[in-house]
Amino acid sequence: MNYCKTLLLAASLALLAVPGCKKEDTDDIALSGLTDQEIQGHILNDFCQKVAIPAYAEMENRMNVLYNTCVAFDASQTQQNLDNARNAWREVRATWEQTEAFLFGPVSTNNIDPSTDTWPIDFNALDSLLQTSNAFTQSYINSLGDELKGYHPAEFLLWGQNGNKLAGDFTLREREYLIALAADLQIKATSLRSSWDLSVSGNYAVQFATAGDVTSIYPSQRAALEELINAMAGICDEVANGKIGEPFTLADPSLEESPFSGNSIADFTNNIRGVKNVYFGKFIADGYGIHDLVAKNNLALHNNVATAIDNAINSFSGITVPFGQAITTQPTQVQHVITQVNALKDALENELLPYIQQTVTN
Amino acid sequence: MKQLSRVILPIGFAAAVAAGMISSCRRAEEVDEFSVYDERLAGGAQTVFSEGVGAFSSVFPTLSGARHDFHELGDAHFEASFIASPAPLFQGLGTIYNSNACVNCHINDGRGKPILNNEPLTSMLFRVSVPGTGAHGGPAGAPGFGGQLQDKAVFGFQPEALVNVVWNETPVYFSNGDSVMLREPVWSFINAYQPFPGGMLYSARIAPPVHGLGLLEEISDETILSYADEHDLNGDAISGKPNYVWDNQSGRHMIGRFGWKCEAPTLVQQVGGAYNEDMGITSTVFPTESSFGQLQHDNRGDEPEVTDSIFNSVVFYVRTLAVPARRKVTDPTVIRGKEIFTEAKCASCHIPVMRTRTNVAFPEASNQRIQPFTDLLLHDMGPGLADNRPTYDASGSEWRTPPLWGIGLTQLVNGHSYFLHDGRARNVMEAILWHGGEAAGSVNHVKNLTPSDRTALLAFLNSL
Repeated sequence: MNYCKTLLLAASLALLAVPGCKKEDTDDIALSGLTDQEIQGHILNDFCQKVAIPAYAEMENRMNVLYNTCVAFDASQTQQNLDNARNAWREVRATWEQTEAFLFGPVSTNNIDPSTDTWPIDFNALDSLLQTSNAFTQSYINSLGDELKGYHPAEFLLWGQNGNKLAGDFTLREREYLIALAADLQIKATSLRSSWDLSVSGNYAVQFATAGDVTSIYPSQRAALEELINAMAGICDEVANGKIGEPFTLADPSLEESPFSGNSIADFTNNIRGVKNVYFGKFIADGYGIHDLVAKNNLALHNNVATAIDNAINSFSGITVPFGQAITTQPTQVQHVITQVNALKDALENELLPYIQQTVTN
Repeated sequence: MKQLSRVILPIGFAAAVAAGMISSCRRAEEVDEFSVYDERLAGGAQTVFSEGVGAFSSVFPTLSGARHDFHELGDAHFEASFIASPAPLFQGLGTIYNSNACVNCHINDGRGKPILNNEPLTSMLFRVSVPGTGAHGGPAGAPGFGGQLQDKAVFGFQPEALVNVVWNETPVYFSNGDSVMLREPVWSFINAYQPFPGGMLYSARIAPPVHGLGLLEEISDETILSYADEHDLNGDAISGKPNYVWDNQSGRHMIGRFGWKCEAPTLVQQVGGAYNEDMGITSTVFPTESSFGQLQHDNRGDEPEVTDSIFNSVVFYVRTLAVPARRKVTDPTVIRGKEIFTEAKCASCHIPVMRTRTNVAFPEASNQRIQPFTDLLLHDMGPGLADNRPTYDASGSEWRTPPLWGIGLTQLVNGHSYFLHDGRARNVMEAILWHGGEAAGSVNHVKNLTPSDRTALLAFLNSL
């Protein structure tokens, strides 16, 4: 019965994926009259304009919502207000996980990743911290270790260790800590968004968009395109062999990254959606993506990559219970995801990357 | 006819061989080791062609099978974040520490940076000691603080101290009147958990990049010593001496290769020291907590906190990180810069080319022609750079020649171009101009270069 449901779900998702493909085939990006070099320039520019910048802007906006919902919950501890805050956390996570398909630039060099997404959290320290009367000022949060700030301590506070916390269970200290964590996340999101501002000369985004110019740290457009592909392959590797592979291989649910909210499958799926965003050059508005160059010159390769992306995203729908359970109760489905995400990684690393290395000459 | 040819052939063959020998001897004399090979192959067979953020993060290209998997395991643990004990996962952090993960200082396996204001240290630390020598001739630990200042602590414990900085700027002039502002840090320590001992010495250290270390470990002692000239017998004002430091594995002194003052003889000791001092995690190599004997000691008796298998995988990880290829090696400006690098005697210490030893136990790194641009020796860099904190045979003004391979990719990998032990140089030219002591002649040479030759020298260094 369950199996039938799964099949139906998978089939309906596959149907949903078809119009997506059609839209990509008929996207309104004009290629005629452009040289490959011009297309490459558009790809790099649009990666900034149409993918990274709108994604980081959305993250900043959603972080503001998270903060506001936490403040509202503190003012009135209704179940509705708690649900609002939890949903806001999931929304922020959805954007952040998509941006993990391009974990290069300021997010890495400015320590944003470790100071927001460190895992595991330190339960003992978190409990001790809540027992103190230290004021949760911004500088106090800043002075804490990475394991006591960011998404996962906020998740722990919002859902509780077993994911079943009630609105009335929250202490004043927990609500204050939650607000302070959200405020800290807001600051990091704002800093990340502004670090990609294309109007600030010398910013990383400017360097990336102008790869190949003498003023850019990227010596060629090819190097910047390789950066995109390596980042996409990197998150596939992380999802298949780290985030999923480690808990699955060791059959150890304690290694799950977002266990309190049960959000792991959404996290993983959004990681791969992020790969799709980068490949197609589209976060909200459509821009030039690597697919425009590849589909123009090597349609078979483009079809392989596009199919691998869809297969990987669709594979998650086979898992119908929280990830921590699925590693023991749905091993076939989990293995299927690992196989599909690794297949995407291979397509990116062993087909797309060499193709770009061999055909892009500037 | 037959007979003749029989006679002539051997004679002809011998003559040809002899001629060949002579000409090959001549060639051998003329061989410029620096340029006759493919100059891009900075790491020999373990070179990767990468111009992105992962340029320092690639595995040796020839590493296969289970050894590749072991590297990947080490990679995962290099990135793992530790938390305080007791915890179900990744316990052992602290109680006092500088960072909670290897990768948080060696971001993208690359270079750390200094703090610019009074903010928490992110990817640098301070070594401390008191005058005199401690066990085995090393620095004498500062009572109550040990050999390193831990500026962070797990919840409920107090860091040893926090760090503040002020940067002072002074101009330096080229002979044509062009100037460069050099900045110098003035460090101060606040909120110490107890008073510092009188006369405490300290030395700021940026996290160095970790690529290519396995190749440097395979350079034989003989090769390193062949570059040494401690008493400057050749009269070029450049000496170069090895630092004999204590190896706690073999229980004897060995040539130090790693660290800003050559204070670590092996990667096992370097990694073990980093786990122990930087993260507060004990290992079989260093089984005593860095906080032992201090108020912050946890008295848990749970040593070693990192298992041998995980520890060894991390050692193997850094041992098998490849070297990025040089770029633009045929660019005329880069070639001119290379000539200047030699003319200015930069290459006297930043040795361009050497071979690793033959080691059948480590075939990937064995007998490789590499271009690390270091001699792994100590040189006096003058008072400007001196930390005045002796370390074994290294005086307060002597520093290891750091490898230059990969420096042109620093901005790309780490988002900055801060160089030297405390990150004071904001770019390569500032780093050059800070050299003094044995390098004073080289700096004078650079100051007298035309602007276009300065550009060429930088183009060469950026090609590394």
